[in-house]
Amino acid sequence: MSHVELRPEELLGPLNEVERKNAPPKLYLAGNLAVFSAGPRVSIVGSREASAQGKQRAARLARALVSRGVTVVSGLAEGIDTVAHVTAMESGGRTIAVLGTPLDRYFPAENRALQERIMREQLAISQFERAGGPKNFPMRNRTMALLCEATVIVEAGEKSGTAHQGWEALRLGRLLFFMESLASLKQEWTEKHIRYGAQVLSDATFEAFLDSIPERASGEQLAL
Amino acid sequence: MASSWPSEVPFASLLIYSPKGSSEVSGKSRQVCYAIKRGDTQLLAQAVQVIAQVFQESGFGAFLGPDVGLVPAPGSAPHVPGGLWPAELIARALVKAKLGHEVVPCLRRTVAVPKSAFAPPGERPTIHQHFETLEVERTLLVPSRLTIVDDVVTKGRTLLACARRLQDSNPNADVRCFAMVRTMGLQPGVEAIVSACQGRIRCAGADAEREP
Repeated sequence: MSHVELRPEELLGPLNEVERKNAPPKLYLAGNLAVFSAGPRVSIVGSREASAQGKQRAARLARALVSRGVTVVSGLAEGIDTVAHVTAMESGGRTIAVLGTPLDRYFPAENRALQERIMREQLAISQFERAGGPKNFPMRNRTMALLCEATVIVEAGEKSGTAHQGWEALRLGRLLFFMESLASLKQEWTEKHIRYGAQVLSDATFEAFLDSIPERASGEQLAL
Repeated sequence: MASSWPSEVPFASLLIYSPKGSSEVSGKSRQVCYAIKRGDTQLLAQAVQVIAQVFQESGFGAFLGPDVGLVPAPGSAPHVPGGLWPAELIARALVKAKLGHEVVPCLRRTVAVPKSAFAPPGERPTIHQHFETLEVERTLLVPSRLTIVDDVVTKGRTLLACARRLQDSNPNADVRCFAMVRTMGLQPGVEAIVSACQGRIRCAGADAEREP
């Protein structure tokens, strides 16, 4: 399997000091590199042990994002992540898998075929260099927040890696949304995120959410 | 609110953006606006350079300069420790270019207010709600000229509430506002992104009106 090595700045343009703090030194990419900059990127993340309703919500969201030309980003885990990737591709859209392992490892093993398909047709990104190297899902989640314009958390508990992603999204000044069904549980961690600016994604705010997704261009491309 | 508080505040701005326009320039204006909001250092450096170029003709001397304290406007939620604060980045870039004396980060948000973009029209935060969720940290030796700096202004409710808070704690200061970008929501699109202006933000009941 061939891959490309890039620094985060080479993908995103110059980083500010807040972005630089947790940015990995290198990113390893396999697949179609054009997917990265083909449109705005929004991550859909959540629990591995997702409920049927949670999976339905993730699928509905992925379809809506694809219909707006948004690239669906997720972490290739079981549950919500898998639904997000598969729905994006089934809807004719783009998807990016941000891995918590090196590109040549498959975790979970059940998603090996999905990972191989994404590395063939879409794009997979890892910050971990080679097999035998570390796997680290909280670090991966922080990197996913960096690579996306917005994050939507569908279902998750306090100990989930998605909580790391939520906090990093807020730290980076990116949009962070909790599905209303998750926010309505009023868990301590979601309430804390909401106090610091996370938004609740409901039927009432869905159109505003879609309209709010920004398209990133760097200052290099935007001469005044 | 006390009647002595200002019902209007002078404001200036450099760039404009169209939230919905379909022209190429309108699309680019949205990218520029987002780049400013997410603290793109290169674009910020470009914008500060343009401010210096148009400083005289645009009358920015009433808002910026080596004797002006720049007060970053808080976002709609309390600041995440160590997190991005676009207004503070802009203020720092202006000070670095000698367009401000120092950054005075004395305003802070204590409780989140709904983001206007996600709130139904009747539920967008009023000037009073903004005011009640803002706090001024008292600091010694505050310059007599203070300009509140923000990344984007729409109607100006946040800036007016900030101005009131700041004027309240610094009654003798000349308080003004500067927003890097202003929203042109009522126009079908924009034809240029650089459009230096100065005008006023006025209180209109619970709402604010921006001119221009």
